[in-house]
Amino acid sequence: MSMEMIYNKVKTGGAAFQMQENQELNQYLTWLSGILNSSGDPIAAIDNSFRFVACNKAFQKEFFSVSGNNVEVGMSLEEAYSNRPDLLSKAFAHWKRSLEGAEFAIGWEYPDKKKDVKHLRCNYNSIRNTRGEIIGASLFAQKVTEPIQSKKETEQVQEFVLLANSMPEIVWSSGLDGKNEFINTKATEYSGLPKDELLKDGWERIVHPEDLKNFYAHLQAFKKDDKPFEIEYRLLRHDGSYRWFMARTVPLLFEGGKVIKYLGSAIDIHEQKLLVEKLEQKAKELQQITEAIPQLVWTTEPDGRDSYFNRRWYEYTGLSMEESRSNGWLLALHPEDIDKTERLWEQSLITGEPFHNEYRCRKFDGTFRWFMARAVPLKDDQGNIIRWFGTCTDSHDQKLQRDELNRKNQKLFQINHYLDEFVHAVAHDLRSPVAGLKLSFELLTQVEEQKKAKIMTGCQTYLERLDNTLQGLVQLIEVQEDTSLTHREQLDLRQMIDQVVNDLQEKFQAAGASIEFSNFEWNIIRYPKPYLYNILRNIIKYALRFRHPNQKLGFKISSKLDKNGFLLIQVKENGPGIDLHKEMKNLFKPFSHINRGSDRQGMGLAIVKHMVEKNGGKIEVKSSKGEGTRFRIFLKEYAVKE
Amino acid sequence: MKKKLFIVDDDELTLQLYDLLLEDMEGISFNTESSGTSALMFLENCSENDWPEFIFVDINMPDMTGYEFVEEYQKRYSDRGHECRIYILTSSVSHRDLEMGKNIPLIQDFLSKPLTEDSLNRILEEAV
Repeated sequence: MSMEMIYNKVKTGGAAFQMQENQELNQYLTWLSGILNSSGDPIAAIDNSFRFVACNKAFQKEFFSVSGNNVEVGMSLEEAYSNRPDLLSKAFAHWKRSLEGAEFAIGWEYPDKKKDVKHLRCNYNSIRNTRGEIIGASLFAQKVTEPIQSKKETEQVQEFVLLANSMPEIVWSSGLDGKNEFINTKATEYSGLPKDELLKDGWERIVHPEDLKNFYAHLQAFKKDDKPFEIEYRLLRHDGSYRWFMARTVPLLFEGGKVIKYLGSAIDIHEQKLLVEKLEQKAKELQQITEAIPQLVWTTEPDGRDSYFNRRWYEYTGLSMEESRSNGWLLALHPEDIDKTERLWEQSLITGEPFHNEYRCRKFDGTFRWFMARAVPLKDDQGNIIRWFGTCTDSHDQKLQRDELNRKNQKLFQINHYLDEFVHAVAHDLRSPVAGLKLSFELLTQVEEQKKAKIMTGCQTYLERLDNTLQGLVQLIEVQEDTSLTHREQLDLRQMIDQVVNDLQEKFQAAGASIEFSNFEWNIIRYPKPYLYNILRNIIKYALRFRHPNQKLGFKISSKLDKNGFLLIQVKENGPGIDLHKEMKNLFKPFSHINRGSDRQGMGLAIVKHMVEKNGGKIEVKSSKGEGTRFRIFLKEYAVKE
Repeated sequence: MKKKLFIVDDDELTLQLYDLLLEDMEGISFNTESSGTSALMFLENCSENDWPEFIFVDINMPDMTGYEFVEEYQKRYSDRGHECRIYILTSSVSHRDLEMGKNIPLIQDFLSKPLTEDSLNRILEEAV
């Protein structure tokens, strides 16, 4: 009878079969299979062809839970592991070893269906017949879950302690009651207290009394919420000094969400904390400075949004924090300055170049003052801008001064230019008669007597011209004087004209001249007397000089207040007129040929223009050949001197 | 052969003195005008034979400056091939004047007023 047949019998639960000589064997087999099946440990055996010749229920159960396959006697390894080829090779290797005579044990971990990790200790042996030949191998597995695990746990704890003691931080673990179960070496080293003292109640002893309250409060909260606990406190060192530590405690969670332990560490942050305090102090100081300096100080984010203004800003502009925040600084600008400022600021934001502009900023009372604004970017190591810092410095007074200076410079420039032309013109008018005199004297030495008289007369004329020019010069210089020194009084225009006419009596009568006063609507003005006198006199003299030789000279004079508040004096004369097209540019130029003539005064209209324009007035001329000349003199009244 | 001179100056008194100066000088004949306009008119009506060989022009004249006269002269007569030297009379010769004069080839030189017998003689001799 083959073994297979016997096995089959065993498999089917030992169904009785009639074999007389094997009844004892049969019984024995039944006992055997019973014993095998009663063991909770998996047992199995294979023959030399790697077929299962025996396996107990426990083995089948375990095999199933691992591979999901039902293993049966007579199956080959391959068949048994048919759906777990990954396990086959290892199993095969083990079995092979034992078939070669090795006796050994291996530990085996595997996750079962329920995902619990199972540990089996598999003892492999070879089976020999009576002659000592290997006929198969056996496997006897022990479930050693708990012993392995606790060994592992012990190993882990040992590792933990090693690690904890090697760390420079203070490390501890505590049970659910909060009492410390473990403290690392650093703790004892630092505090100078022995381990058991620390474990007992030592912790409270070394926490700084000022920090204890906070510590307890945190602890309470922590126990309630099971969340990580963080605190900064001072711990007492062995030398009696306190150092700052940052302590952290985390709950050690078991699977299933149950807390079994707390793990904590405390890191020495003393230096950092002091540094932070120092930095905070410095920041505060900086803040104080920016609040104290008279400038308006502001900073913005890299994109230009406002993040901070100093107190002066709010004091000056009167804006609220809300108003200032969102580009509110634009609100404070003078409307005329907004465009340019916005443009320049945008440019700076884009290019990263420092910003500066001068603009008017509105004060809380609605007035404007000039400010010089400057902003520079603060960059990090990579060169990215992290903030803009800006100041606005009140430059109002300086700006006004600068403007005043510019105005004065302009004026000086104009005066220089005028004097330049003037000097050039004067030079000619002085040299010309002198040249004539030179020639005259040369000729006097050469010519005969009768011609001499003529030459002498010529000399006289030259001398007069010279004299006139010099007189005109003096006049012009006198007129340059500072107006603020001149005396101003209320003058009656009509009276002044009468006086001028009186002084020019002879010439007036010689010209048969007359004046018609028409439209004398306004004729009072506060003005320096000599100025008004000279203005009137020169105009009248001009007309007298250039009049029609054969015609009676007639004046028409009127005056009124114009729309700008000027006193407009209009003098019309019926002289031959001037071709203004040609002569306009020379009309008011000193020493220009128009102002020359046989009766040289040289200055005439130039002086008139100068005096009229001195304080903001103006003069207009309209003339054409054959139509006479019309002068319109706009006089600006002088204010009462302070 | 008398040298023909032409003097243009707006000052009548000075022209009278020139009359006195030149009428007794030998070897020259002269004409005078008191404005650039009348001077140009004189030239218009001038025959080839009577064309002046020396023209003295005052810079500072009311209706037309000495330069403007020379420019007009250049426009009208420069290609006529006249042997004519033009001199500018000025109260004082300045750098500015000299610079301006450089650009006008017709202007021979700048002379300081007054025109004297000595300066005249020098010019007449140079021209030979």
